[in-house]
Amino acid sequence: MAMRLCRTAGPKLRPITTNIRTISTTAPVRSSGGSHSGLWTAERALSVGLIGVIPAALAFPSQGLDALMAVSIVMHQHWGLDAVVVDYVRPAVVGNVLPKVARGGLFLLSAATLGGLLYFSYNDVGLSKSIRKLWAIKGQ
Amino acid sequence: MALVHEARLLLSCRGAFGQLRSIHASAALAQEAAKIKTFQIYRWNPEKPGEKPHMQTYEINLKECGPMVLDALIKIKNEMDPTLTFRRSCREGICGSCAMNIGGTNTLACISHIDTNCSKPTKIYPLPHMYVLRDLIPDMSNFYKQYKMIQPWLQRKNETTEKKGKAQYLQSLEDRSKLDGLYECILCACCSTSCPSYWWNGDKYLGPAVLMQAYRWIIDSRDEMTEERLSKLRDPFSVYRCHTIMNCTRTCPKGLNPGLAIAEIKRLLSGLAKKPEPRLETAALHNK
Repeated sequence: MAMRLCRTAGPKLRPITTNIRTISTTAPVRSSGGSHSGLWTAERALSVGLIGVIPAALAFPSQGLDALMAVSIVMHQHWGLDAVVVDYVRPAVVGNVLPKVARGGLFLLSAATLGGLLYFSYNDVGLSKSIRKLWAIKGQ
Repeated sequence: MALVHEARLLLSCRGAFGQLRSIHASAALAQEAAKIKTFQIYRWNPEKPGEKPHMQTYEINLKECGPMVLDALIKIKNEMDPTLTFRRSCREGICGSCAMNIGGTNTLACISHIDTNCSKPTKIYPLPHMYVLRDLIPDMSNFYKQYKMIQPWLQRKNETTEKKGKAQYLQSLEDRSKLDGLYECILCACCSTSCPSYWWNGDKYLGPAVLMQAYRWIIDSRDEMTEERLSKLRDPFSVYRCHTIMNCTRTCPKGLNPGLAIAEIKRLLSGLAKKPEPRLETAALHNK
């Protein structure tokens, strides 16, 4: 190829690119609007908060702290899994419907988790007390 | 006549000594056992549409080859297989052309030593998760378009009074030092193509290399478009697909830290940090 380009007197001087098959690549797109910075800040704040909330709830079992722990853990895992869904269930790979179904399913899962944990805290021994009981189990 | 004889004698002696030396040298070369290293290189030719990508094996005597992987590639192309295709230019780690995946790590072929352990082959692939044009050559157009998107040049608000080229813009030493570790990037794309988020969402996520350059212009004390630059990054994809996996920092052949630059962008976006005012009046020389 290089030889051909060097020769100036040749009758047909073709640019080097004509021999390369054109390949369609994804065009870069600006993701449509919306600000994510508030959500990011909330995620960081919650992560920092969990460092205090979990030990506090385990140290002083009460319905209020139980509810706080349940809500913050569920929010934390929901945002984490939401990022996983956005990353892996992509419209470019699975079409436009499945990503919406997946995110909706995640909402249902998180809502059910939160409902279950709250139900457990109000109608049973409670979240932190049951976690403390794990240490009380003795081998037979 | 005597002089001529003497000269001839001298000449013939020198020839003999020269010959002796060369015989000695070749004997020494032959004594050294050949050190054969196997390279397995990704091959794909767009001109043969039926052929699938495959690995081709080359064996090189390391005694007759330079120390770097690029030396081996050039040796293969020169002496064994002229069809092997790869990009290279500066051979000293400043142009970023020869970025490729060597032994599982994205790096520059010109500044990575050949693994001298000859019992294991060295595998060379193009940069991961990129469209391949041929052999080790990836299509970089998406990467370059994304770089263009962040407008990588100095922007001022008052361009009417600050005539271009009239005077220098002032920058204090402290402000200048904020660009260290950012401006050295050669855009080889080793970091971006090592990032899983860039693999999955490379169309919308800008990737570590481009984001580090975005931060380079955001934090430059002479640039006044900070807010505009930041507001273009606020959406859920441009920056926030970064999950601090840190493959970028780990793989960077120049030892830079794109992960840190992205974290700084996130801090600026959230308002946890603010860009400081320039320590010197940037346009002082223009206003004189």
